[in-house]
Amino acid sequence: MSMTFLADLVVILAKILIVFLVLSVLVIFIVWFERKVVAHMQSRLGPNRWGPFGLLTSVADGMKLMFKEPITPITADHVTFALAPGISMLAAFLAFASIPFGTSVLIFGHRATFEIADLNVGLLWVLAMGSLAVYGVVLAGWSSGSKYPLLGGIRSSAQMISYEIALSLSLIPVVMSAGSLSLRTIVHAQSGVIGSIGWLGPVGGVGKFIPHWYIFYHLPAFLIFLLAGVAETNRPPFDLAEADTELVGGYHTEYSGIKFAMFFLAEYLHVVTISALAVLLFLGGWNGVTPNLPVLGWIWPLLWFVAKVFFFVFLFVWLRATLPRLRYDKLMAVGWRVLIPAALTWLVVSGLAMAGSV
Amino acid sequence: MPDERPPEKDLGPLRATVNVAKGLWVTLRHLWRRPITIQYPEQRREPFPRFKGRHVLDRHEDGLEKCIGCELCAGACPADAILVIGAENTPEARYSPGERYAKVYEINYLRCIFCGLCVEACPTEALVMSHAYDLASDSRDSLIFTKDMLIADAPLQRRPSKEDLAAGEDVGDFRILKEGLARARAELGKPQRPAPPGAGGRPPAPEEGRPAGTASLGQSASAEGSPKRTEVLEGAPPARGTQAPGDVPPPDPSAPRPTDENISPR
Repeated sequence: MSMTFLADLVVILAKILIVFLVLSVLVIFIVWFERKVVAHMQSRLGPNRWGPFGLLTSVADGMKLMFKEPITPITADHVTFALAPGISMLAAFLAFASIPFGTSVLIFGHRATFEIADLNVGLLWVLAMGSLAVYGVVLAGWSSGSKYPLLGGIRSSAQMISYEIALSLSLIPVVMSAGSLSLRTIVHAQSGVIGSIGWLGPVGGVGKFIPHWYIFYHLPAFLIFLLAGVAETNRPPFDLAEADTELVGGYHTEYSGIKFAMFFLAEYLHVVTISALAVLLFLGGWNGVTPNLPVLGWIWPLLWFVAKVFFFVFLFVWLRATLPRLRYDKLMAVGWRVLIPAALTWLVVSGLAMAGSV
Repeated sequence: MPDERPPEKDLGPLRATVNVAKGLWVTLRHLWRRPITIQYPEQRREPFPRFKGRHVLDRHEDGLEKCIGCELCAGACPADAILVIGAENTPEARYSPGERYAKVYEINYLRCIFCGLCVEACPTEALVMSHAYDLASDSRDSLIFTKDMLIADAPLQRRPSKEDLAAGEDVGDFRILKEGLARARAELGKPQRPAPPGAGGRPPAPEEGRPAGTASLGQSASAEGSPKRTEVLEGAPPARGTQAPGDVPPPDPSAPRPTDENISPR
C-alpha cells in the first residue's frame, strides 16, 4: 500500500514538474512565434538578433524582466499589489492540472497518463481556474492606485464575467453529447468516424471518412466558444482590459520587472488553455485523422494534440494581427445579445435533437 | 450635449463576417510575402541622386579650395547652423584662388535642416551635399563638423564637364533630360535629334534595371581614363553596390579624421 502510494506520489510530482517546465518553455516559444508571425503579416522581419531566427529573444526578454527594478506605486495597496500577479499566474498554471495531453505511457511498469489528474469534473476545474484569473486582473487594477489600471480592471471584470457565461454555455452541448465532464472521457467519446450519414442519402458514405469530432456536430457551439475564448483571454480584438492605446496597458500599467512578466506568462498560458480546450472538446483531442502508427506508440497521439493546439495558437495570433479592437459597448453587446442567446439556442436545439434520437 | 455623430451603419452579420474574412485573407497572404525591412546597419538604401545629405566642401582641380569665405551660406541658412570666419589669402599661405578663404567653417548638424539653401547660395559651388545620411552621435560636440571634416581631399565630380559633353557623353540629369525628350519626340512622331558623335550607339531609352547615368559614367571613365571621377554628387549616382552612399574620396591616412565613419561607413 505505502509502496504504491509512494510511487504514485513520485509520478505525480514528476508530472507536475514536467508540465510546469514544458509550459514555461512553451510560453517563451509562443511569445517568439507570435512576434514572428505578426511581423511577417506586417511585411516585417520580427526578432532575428538572438539565436537562430531570433528564437532566444524571449529568453533575453525574460532575463531582462527578472533583473529590472520592481516598482511599486506609492498609492498602491502593497500586499494586494504583490499578490495579484501571483494569483494570475497560479490560476493559469492550475488550469492545466486536469488537461490531458495524450494517451498513456508505461514507465518502469507504471502506467502514467498524460495529465496530472483525471478529475471527473475536469472541465469544470478548468473553467473555475479561468474564473479565478479574473481576480488577478481585478485586484491588480484596483491595488495599483492609479486610474488607468483601475479602468482596465473594471473593464476586464465585466468582460471576463460576461464572456464566461457564453463560454460555459457553449460547452454544455458537448458535455451532453459525451455524457461526462471528464476531459479524458470527452476525448474518448470522439474517437472513430461518424459513419454513414442517413439523411445525406447516396453520398452518406462520406461519413466514414469524417472523424467523430464534436466540431461536426456542434459547429455553432464551437464558433461561440472560439469568440468567447478570445475574449476570455483578453486577447485582441477583445483586449479591452489592456488596450494599450486607451489605457496605457490597462491593469498592468504600474507593474514592472518580474511581476509584469508573471501577468505576461499568465496571458499566454490562457491562450494555451483555451486552445487545448478547443482541441479536447471539439477537435477530438489526440485522435488523429489517420490510423495510429503502432511504431510511434504514445508519441503519435501527442503529436496530433500538439499540432492541433498550435493551430489554435496560430489562430489567436492571426486574429491579433488582423482585427482592430472592439469598442467597449459593442463588446458587451456581442457578449450579451448575441453569444449568450446563441449558446442557449444551440443548447436547446441539441437537447431536442438528442431527445428525438433516443 | 447631444451625440452629433452620424448614426452607425449596421453591417449585418453576413457582411461583417465577410469583411472579417477578407481582412484575415489579407494578413495570411502577407505571411508568405518577402518582408520589406532593410536591415539598416548591414544593408543600406541607395539614396536618390539628388538626396541632400551631409555637406562637403569642394576643391578646384589644382587642389585649391573653392570656398572663398564669403559667408553667403551662413546668411542663407534659415537654421543658423553655419559659422564662417574668412581670412585673407597670402602668397605664403594660399588656400583658395580668390582674395579670401574660410579660416573657420563649421556646420552644426544639431541645427541643420538639410534644406540646401546654403548650396544654392554658394557663388563658387564650393558647398555641395553628399549622400551621407547616418549622422547620429552620442555627443553634441561631435555633431558640429569643422572645416577639416567637411573639406574634400580631392575635387568632386558632380556636373558633366565640357569635355564630356563635347565627347557626346551625357551624364546624369542631362542624359535623363535628353532621353525623356527623345522619347517624347518619338511618341509625337517627330524626327529625333541624331545621336551625338561618340555616343557609341547607346540606346536612347534608359537601360532597364540600372540606375540612370551609371552606364554613361562607366563608359566615359573608361574611355577617357579620367582619374578625377571619384565622386558624383548630383545627377548620376555611383553604381549600386560598388560605392557606399555618400562615399567621398579615400581620406588622407596621415590626417586624423575623427568622423570618417560618418562619411564612408563601410
